[in-house]
Amino acid sequence: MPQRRLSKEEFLAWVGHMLRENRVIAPIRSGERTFLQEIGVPSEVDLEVGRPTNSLKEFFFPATETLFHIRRGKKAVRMELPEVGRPQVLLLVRPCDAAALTSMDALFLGEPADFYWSERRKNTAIVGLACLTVPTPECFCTTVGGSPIGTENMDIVLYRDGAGYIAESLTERGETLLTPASGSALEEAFVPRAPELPTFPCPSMEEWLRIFNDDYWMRLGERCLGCKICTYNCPTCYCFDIRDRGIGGYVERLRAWDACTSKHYSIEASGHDPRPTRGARLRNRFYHKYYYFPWRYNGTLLCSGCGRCVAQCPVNIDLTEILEEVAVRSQEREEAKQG
Amino acid sequence: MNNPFLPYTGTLVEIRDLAEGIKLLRVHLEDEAGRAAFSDYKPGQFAFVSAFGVGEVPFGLAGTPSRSPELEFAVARVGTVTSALHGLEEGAPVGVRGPMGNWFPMDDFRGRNLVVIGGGIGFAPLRPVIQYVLDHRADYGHLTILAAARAPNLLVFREEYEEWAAAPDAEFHVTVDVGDETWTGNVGLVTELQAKVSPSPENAIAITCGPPIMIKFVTQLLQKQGFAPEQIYTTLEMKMKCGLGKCGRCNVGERYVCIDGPVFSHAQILRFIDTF
Amino acid sequence: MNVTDDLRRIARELLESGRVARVIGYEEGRRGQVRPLVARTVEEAGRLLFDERCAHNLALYLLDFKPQGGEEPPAVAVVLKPCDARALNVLVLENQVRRERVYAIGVACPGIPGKQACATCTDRVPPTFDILLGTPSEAPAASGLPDDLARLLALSPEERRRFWAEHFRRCIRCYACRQVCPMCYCEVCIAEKLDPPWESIAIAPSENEFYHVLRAYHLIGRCIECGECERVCPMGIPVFLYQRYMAEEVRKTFSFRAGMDAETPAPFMTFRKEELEKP
Repeated sequence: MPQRRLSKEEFLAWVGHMLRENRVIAPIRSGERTFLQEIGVPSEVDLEVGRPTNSLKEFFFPATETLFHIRRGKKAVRMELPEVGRPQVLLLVRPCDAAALTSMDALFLGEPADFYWSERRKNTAIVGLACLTVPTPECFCTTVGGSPIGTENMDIVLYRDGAGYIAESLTERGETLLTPASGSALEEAFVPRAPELPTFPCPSMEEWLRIFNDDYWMRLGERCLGCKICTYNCPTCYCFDIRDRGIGGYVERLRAWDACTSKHYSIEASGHDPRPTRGARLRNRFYHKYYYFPWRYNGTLLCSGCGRCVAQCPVNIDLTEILEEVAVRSQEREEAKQG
Repeated sequence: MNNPFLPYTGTLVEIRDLAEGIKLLRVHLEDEAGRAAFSDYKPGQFAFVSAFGVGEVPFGLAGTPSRSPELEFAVARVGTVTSALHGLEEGAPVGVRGPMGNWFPMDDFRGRNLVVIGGGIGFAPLRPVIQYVLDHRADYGHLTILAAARAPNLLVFREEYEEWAAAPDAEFHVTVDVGDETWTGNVGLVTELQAKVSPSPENAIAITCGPPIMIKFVTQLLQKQGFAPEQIYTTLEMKMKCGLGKCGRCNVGERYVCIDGPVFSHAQILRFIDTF
Repeated sequence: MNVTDDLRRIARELLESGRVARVIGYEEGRRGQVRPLVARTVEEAGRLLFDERCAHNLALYLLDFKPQGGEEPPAVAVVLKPCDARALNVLVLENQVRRERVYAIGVACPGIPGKQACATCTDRVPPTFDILLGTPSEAPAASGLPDDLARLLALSPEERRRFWAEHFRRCIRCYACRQVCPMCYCEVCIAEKLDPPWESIAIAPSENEFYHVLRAYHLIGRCIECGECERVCPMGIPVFLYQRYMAEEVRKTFSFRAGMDAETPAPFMTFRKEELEKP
């Protein structure tokens, strides 16, 4: 669809317009970090955003949500669904984050579809921001099949243009959303060029399988803290816990994020733990992303190459290094086998 | 839109001691939709039971629809939810989601000899297999049942041992790790009993369930006794939250216990056997 | 005088002689940072290094060498800055680590540039070590309260409450602050204890506040002020600030700093009869 040029002022005016009828989520600067957060006024938007600390998943799959309210009497209970799916716009979403929704859709919209994800997804417009330059040193989207100028799952894509943007709607919803924006038509269509990214090997499922029992995982586990930074700020880590909260006649069933990297996650009430070491738990995270998930969902990886886990791990457990190690070690095993 | 997290409402119609720390819960489903969903569940399937206000936990369905119109669950008190369930009185509302998971391929087992080996509370999901075989006796060959527990007071469904032992073309053995003053039967690990009984792999299928460590040793011994991985079935239990293949918790390798299981042939999970 | 060269030489000797089975130190990371390394071989010991990027408190990893099922864990060597050595002392005091199983490679610490906890720290030499590497620089004069703590204390209780509420609202409960803390070694953290639960699974303001307040209290008189909790927080929450406030109070009230030796228990872990008597 036709592109139009928005100056910074026109862009902010447009954001103000969207705020009238939508909850608008955008990057907000706070100290040294940028967070995706609901904004109150357009001036809060961090126009210089590289990669926000948190991912966009919480706006579809909140860290904690009520699955249903339970009103219980002595002999009967009544369950009521909460209201979900208030219209929202996600602003300045990077292509890796938008692409991550494809993996999450495979999971949450696959049979049986998740009511909560589905409602929010339906009612969310995504205004993407293409990467005309590489936003962070940890980016590796092309390794996992993404593109810095990819527009997957976006309703509108923005290209940085001086202090403003070039906007192009990609869907009907995007077109409607963009209609009130002022701005000027472009004389000549803007054709984005993808910047050069470092690339890493992306081992096949077979390669991953070959080194499942490699000591490498236990050695990685030695320095792993067993925290959940990598999973909670990951746009595609989705594991959750379910539990009731409340007392007396009113309670609610909650769903909250959980993570396989934590000790608490897999240990059973009996005390048995199927993944008893940090190495085994860490291995599960990477295998989930590069083996288990694609095994189930037609090759779809559970990683969009955003680089958050690489940038945020306090002990430098670096997925790009792991991809290289898997490729090398797998190759070595294969060669050793063939003698 | 159908919301699979919403349980069917049910009423606890019976709760009684089954063994030390284990109770049998019988649940009548109040919703028509719930009764329809559970009209034809299969041996090996499971369901989530809610103690409203605390949470929900999955249990193997311990009966068959043909024997009991109510759902039966053997509940061991191990955590907060199971404690809450133990504390319920008859008439209390409970929630049920299911039936979930796959089942023992009873059709494929037709004409085969069956060896059923269960330990402790792990015997509960095998009870429907036995009931099914006994109700379709002509369809199956010889039935060998091995029951085990750490102590006599931890054996479940003891009142049914007589029926099983007396069934045509069936043998029943039971052992406990440690006996007590009333116990006159076998004492020793289930694998010792298994070695003594020495089931033939000829035209046979072995089905086992119990604590992970027991499954591992029983499976090893079965293979020594000549059973191929394809002849060994287990039903696995793992911590799980949704039962829908979404919460990410119950994987054994690439398989989810909740939707790809809980019933697996040993051949399916061989590669990842150490991770459950 | 190069600490890294000495460190590698000593690590090799320790491993070669069989004195220890592991040397816990730092190695070059992949992107200009350093990272922990649990070296097992002489070759791996050759990757060890120490410089002013080495912020991690490696005493944490000693918890992986606790006796298990009556079996004696292997002896280990570990590189310790002054605050890390204080952690070792507390772990010894609290029976988590046996001092004789640990070979402490102390390093004279210049302070890690840019690390919040180091800005006002005056410790240059570890309080315990088996060998000391590097030449201690002159300790700076004590400079009073760190700026951020002084600012916090200048706020009214209501403002302080808002300050923390704003920060805790953003907490995602990744538990990095707890996981990185050598003093947070509970088998099951009360914040995650579900049978029975002390708090719900919700990642939400009131639960977050419960967690942080609880952690602050559990560390009173035990915090060795390494500041790792705040350094690893991905959300930029000043978690070390409340910890340091507690440490400051303990210092003022009891003239006590955790981990300066391995014998003196924390004030809140002792009880004396005379404390009953009013002054």
